[in-house]
Amino acid sequence: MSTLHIINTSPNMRSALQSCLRIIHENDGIIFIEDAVIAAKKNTPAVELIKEKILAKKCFFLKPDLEARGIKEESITQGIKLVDYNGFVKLTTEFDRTQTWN
Amino acid sequence: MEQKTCLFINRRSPYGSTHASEALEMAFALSAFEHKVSLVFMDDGVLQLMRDQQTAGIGMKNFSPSFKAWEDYEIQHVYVEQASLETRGMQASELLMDVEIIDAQQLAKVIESHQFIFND
Repeated sequence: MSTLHIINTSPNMRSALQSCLRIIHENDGIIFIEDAVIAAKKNTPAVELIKEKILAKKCFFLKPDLEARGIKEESITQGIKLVDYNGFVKLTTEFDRTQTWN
Repeated sequence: MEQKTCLFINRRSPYGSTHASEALEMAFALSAFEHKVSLVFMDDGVLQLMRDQQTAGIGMKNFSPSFKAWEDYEIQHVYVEQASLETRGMQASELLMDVEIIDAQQLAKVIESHQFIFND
């Protein structure tokens, strides 16, 4: 069984990401939305935490939320996959279930 | 009404909640009532000052242009905490306007020198 974890809070202000990573399975994916998208920026502590999931191509970020915060593609960690809202919906069908962390 | 010195400490990212835009409105309102108001951006609050915010995709109003009018609203100072920029991989060049970048020690003095402290 595979789960898409949805994280919507900043990794700097809430421990949602850290807690999610403690229990996450190999088949699971993570999508960052709303304030959580700031984890995409290069040279931040959050990047170290999600390195493996980025390499496994199971790390997704909602592009409209990045654009709203002025975070440009050039300043985003390499290997991260950006999706739009349609892509987000599609992702939820590619995993068996979703689990939200806020 | 006796004039007060007020400091707004902004620590949240914009758009995930309405705290940021509402705090700004309150700061401008207090300034309009002749109080001496300054703004501080620290922790995730520094993100509120990122340039080129394109918010149409999330259906929210981009309120960041209002920051540039800080002098027109008679805001006294706009401070950004340096360490907050660094831990978020942000450069001063990514901010939408010139600000006073200060360290934690300087920020402590700024906070001490204001009568009322608000946060977002």
